[in-house]
Amino acid sequence: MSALRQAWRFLGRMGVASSLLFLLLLVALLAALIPQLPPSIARDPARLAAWLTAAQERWGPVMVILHRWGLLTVYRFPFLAGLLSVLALSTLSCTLSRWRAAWRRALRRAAPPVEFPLSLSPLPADRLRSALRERGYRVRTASGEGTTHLEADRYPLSELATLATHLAVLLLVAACGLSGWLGWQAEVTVRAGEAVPVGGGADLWVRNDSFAIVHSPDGSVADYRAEVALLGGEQEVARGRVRVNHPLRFRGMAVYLWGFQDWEGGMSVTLKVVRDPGAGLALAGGLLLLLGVTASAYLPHRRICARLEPERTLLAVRSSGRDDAAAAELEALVRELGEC
Amino acid sequence: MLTAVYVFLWASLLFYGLHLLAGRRWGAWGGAAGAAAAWLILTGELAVRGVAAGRWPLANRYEFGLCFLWALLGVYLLLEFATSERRWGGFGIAAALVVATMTLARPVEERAISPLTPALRSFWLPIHGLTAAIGYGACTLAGALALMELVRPGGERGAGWPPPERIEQGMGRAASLGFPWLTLSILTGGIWAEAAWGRYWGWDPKETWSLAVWLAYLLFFHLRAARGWRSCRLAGMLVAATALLLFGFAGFPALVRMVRLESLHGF
Repeated sequence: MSALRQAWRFLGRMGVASSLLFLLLLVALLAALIPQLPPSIARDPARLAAWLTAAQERWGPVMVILHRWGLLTVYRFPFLAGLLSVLALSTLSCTLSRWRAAWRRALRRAAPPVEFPLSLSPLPADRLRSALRERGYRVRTASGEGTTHLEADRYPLSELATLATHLAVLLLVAACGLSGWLGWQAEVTVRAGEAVPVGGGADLWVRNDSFAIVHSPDGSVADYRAEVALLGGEQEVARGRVRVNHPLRFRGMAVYLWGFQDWEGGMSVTLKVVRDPGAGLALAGGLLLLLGVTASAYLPHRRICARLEPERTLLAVRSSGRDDAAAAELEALVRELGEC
Repeated sequence: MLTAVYVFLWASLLFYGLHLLAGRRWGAWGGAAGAAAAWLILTGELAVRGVAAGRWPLANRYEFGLCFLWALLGVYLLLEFATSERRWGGFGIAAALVVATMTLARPVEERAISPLTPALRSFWLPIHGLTAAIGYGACTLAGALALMELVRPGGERGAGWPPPERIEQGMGRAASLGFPWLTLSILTGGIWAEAAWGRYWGWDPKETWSLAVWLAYLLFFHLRAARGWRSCRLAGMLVAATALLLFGFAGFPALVRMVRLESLHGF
């Protein structure tokens, strides 16, 4: 039990998280520099064989070795899955061990500083209070035995930004898992006026009603448009125009225009049909990540504490994380108070 | 127009260099004036180009390079204004010159205003492109200041230079400013990719390189906060992250073509 607890604590250390991020960075560089097999091809043995033959012609026999080692499908690499799982555990451990302290700081219940690095000549409490309020701080004061204690906080809720970022990482890892396990995609080529099953276990057919290429006045291609219908049995369940960047969406599924070919009777279109149950979770995770990162970078929690004694004023600033502008703000405050 | 920007940037570099190395006070004002003039000309060029094209000037790597340069100069001027520190101007402007040179080196046909291809006709193009440009600009500036930290002479020879803590603060502020924009650009890229290609993430070489760049900057913040990395080690990490970023902008698309990697991204 003790070993498990130690392992859990070890995972929560920021040094471990940094090492995991470094490994993930190496995997990302590897995946960027080695051609990756599209998932739809990796799942189809016939297309995989054709892709590998073409890849060998292009890059040589090294592709066979890379394929054998799993480096052409890094996204299915057991090492990557393991790395993401350990990163998720590390994030969870870090979050669980720190959320209480972060919450206390966010609610401004953290203990006042014991050291005040800045000592100035005596200042009136009202002047300091109004200067801090003008800078957006919420100020609390307490007096006793000739000394006034002043605590001023700005953006205290950004103490929760790291928790939001960590939660976002967990959501993104979960979204990757959900997309990989439950998502599917298929490419179908449909001639004008014909219908084909969309595949992926969905009891749906897709029909190509028409396809057109729209040109601008200067002759360049302005748009590609396909009119398609989705059929459930004999019934039409959805219909719409599919363009580049504008898929047809229907009950968690989307139909994308993926290509077109000349055909004797007109044009046939290649459509990509996708169901991705992880997309919504990925979007939520991405937004939460953005919120956390932005709050950490732009709205750091700063606390300025002062002890106003009859013969001197002591000042200290504390900030969430490494806030490079905190000292500068304290300097500016001191300048404003005429102490420079 | 970019030639005029280039000239102003060289002049600004010269003035900032005189300020840093020879301690000339007027050098700082000359440098700032040159940088501001270059930024104003770029703003005008981008506005004229956008109006003439009837779209945001983000259709190819030349136009993205102009926006990247515009953002870098804008963030630099903002940082100089916020900190009243002008001694790091030479490094900020040198980074701008590197980006300007990369942009000038683009093929001439990219400079002509061309209509958007259907793939780029999307609500997400200006959002994704601009956020990436701002993120690239601020993070490249952070890398330039990190390089200053690395080459700062010790002892008396470094007397006129900002102290290491000051440079570290500057690079931290620039990286903090840029990182949320990098995050937003990847997020908007994912949303656009879902609308265009049916997946928010596809291990496309350009996407994966962007992730590597983002992870490198994230690692910088982690190492700074968690392991107490400071000065040269931290600066070295940031320079490496910026090298990845600049290679992603200028070198990686060429590498993709050279080794014939398959990418859905135009640039």
